[in-house]
Amino acid sequence: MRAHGTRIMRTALRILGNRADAEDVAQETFLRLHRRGIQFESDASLAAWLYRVAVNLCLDRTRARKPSAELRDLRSPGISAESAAIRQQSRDILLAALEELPARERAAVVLREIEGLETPEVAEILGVAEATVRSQISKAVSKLRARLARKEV
Amino acid sequence: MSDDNLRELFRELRDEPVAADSLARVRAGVYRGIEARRKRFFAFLALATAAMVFLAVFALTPRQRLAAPRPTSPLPVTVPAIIEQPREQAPVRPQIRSVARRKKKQPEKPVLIRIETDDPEVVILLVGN
Repeated sequence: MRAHGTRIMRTALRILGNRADAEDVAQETFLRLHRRGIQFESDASLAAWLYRVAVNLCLDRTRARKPSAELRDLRSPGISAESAAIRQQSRDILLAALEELPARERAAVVLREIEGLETPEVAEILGVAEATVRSQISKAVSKLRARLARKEV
Repeated sequence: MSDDNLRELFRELRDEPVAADSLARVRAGVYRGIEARRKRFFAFLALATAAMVFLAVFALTPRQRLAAPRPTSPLPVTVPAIIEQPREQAPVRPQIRSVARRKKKQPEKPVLIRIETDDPEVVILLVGN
């Protein structure tokens, strides 16, 4: 759990934008892992399984309610004040823009761009074709760029 | 904003640490959930064992043990006499015989032979069938 907890928690938080919900999702994900008692061949397959469960739980929750404006929760506490001010402004804009994306596009961007997974892995986790993932990410990045450009102006 | 800037921002988001208290809460919640599940499992196991013991004791015991205990008082046990009720039988039609009746044999009278002797007081009687 220590190895994957951070990644699952971060993914859930980026998709849901709510710390309490993200904690619930991360907790439920690891409980499901314990309940199933699945043996994985490798760490990568375990990570993929955890991501899939967590993302599905997040998508279920986003269907039930609108995400809150708490996406800025995940801030680095150790960054110095001056550089943090500039970075944080851009980050806040990005997080706000991310929040406006449709849930599936947001999940694809979080997994591919923030978590750094490969497109086939993202496709497997989301249960869609690779082409769909590429299309979702392309659309999402365009929207984010447009949103950030608007804010910068 | 250029693609590089966007990628840089994404990378920064990836590198941001998750709050330690959040992770601790998740970990505690997982352990709590596992513990609760373990308790439920042991409770179920205890119930199943109790049910098995119950079945073994009450269902598999010989019936004599379950019979009512005999009275221990020295008084004699009076058993009410069982009065058999006459069974009702279907009326039977008398059979009509067409055969002629046999004649009953009349018992034969014993043969009595009286022999008188010279002595008037002595009489010989012979009885035979």
